[in-house]
Amino acid sequence: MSSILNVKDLNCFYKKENSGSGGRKRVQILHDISFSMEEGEILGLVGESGSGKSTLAKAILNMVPDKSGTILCGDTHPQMVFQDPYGSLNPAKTIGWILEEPLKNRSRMPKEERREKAAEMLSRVGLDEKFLDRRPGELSGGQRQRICIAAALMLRPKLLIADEPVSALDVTIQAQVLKLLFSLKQEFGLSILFISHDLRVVYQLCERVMIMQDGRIVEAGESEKIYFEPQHPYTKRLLQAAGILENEKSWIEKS
Amino acid sequence: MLLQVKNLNIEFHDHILPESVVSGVSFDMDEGELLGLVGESGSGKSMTALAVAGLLSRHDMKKTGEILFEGKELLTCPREELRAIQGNEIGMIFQEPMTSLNPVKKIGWQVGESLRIHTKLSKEEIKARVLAMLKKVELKEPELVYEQYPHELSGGMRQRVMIASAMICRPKLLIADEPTTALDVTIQAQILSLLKRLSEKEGMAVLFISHDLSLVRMLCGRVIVMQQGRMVEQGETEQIFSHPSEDYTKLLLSSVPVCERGKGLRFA
Repeated sequence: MSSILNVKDLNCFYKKENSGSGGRKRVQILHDISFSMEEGEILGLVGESGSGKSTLAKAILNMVPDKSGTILCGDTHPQMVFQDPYGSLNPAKTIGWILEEPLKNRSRMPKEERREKAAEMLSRVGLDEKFLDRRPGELSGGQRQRICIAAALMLRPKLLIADEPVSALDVTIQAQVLKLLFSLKQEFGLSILFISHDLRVVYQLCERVMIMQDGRIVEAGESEKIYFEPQHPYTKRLLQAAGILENEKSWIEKS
Repeated sequence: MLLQVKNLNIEFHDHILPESVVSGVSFDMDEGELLGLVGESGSGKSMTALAVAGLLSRHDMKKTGEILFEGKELLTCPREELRAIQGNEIGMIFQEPMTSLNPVKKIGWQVGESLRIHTKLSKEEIKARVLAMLKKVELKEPELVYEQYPHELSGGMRQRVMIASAMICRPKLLIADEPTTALDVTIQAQILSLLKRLSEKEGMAVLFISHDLSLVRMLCGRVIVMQQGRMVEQGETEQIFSHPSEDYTKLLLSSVPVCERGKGLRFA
């Protein structure tokens, strides 16, 4: 197995408006992030809000201008799936148009072939061909997230970055979408950077996991080890709060 | 018996055909009991809660059945009598603490609001009660928070303020609709253990509404499972979680990711 993504000593900064003085302050969001991902791996990235996990995703997609360090992802163009399937799809366009758009931009494929590819991808994500002529408003949340995944896969990326892809979904639908992600990984040999605040979901999907706090990776390794033999105090606190470490009821009854 | 809901039906009439959102819901709650109400979106759990809180008064909505709070029928009782119970004997907290708080009023004013409505306490007495309440929900500097505005507080602190204002009149029933869904997991744990402690200390019953089954399991002794406006199953939490009898409950439980050693990678 070879590595598909290599991040080394990554530092990211945002400019923050300084209320009062009118000046702008440079704030460091990510501190010395280093990790690598293997081909065909699903890597979990866990942290609370403000920990910098979404900024890391953006940096990999080259959407953070102010950064230092290296990000190597070979010739793969990573694609992204976001949390909110309602906000990620153009409500005025048909599903067919949405799925064909990446092909229009990146290739000179004839119209019929594009539509064929779109229909094929739809069936891969478990939806019927008739959805091609529907618009996002006619779809349920789970169906929309399948469309987002399909659109991200149209150009056959080797790396998919999924930022809280199932957080807005009901638990039964969530299980279906997770299952889909896993089968797509098998089918396409896809690597997935799976970003989530939900420790339980990550445990179901990822062999390896990184725990982030305040812009730093505080602990990383095999899920089995991190979840049940955590070393860092923050990881322990996180797992206890989620009721995973110790038995399920303890944290509520202890206090 | 604190609360009895009998055969509650709620219908919308804003379309040509009436649309039923809650049908045939019946349950009881004892004093001081923690009851969980779980279901997916659209299952009618929030509608049921709003009906109990007396907050469904839209004209295009038809409610039938009975809601008895300490023997008093809430669905048909006059508005003034309902107002005397709302915020006084029944408190409610919602998912998003930011939208539930008034952004232009100080915290002290907002927490004291129901005292001003429901009691004839003097200004000083109200301030003392508010400060005591802010302390009870374990805010670190009650005097400071009293003078602050909602935007100056973190999400967890705002939810503590919400709990304080819902509990200031010492309600017998607190309805908590997804109170920790917008919060990070470590803050969630703090808020839930606070709710549990307060409920035990004050003998307050809590109707806890959530889509998160593992939270309900940790918090509630009894649970009701809802799907598409109907009650699927109700009973002791442990019983339902370990031996669900209905297919939907089984599906719901099997969808919750298991987090036990060696049980990862479920889809592999």
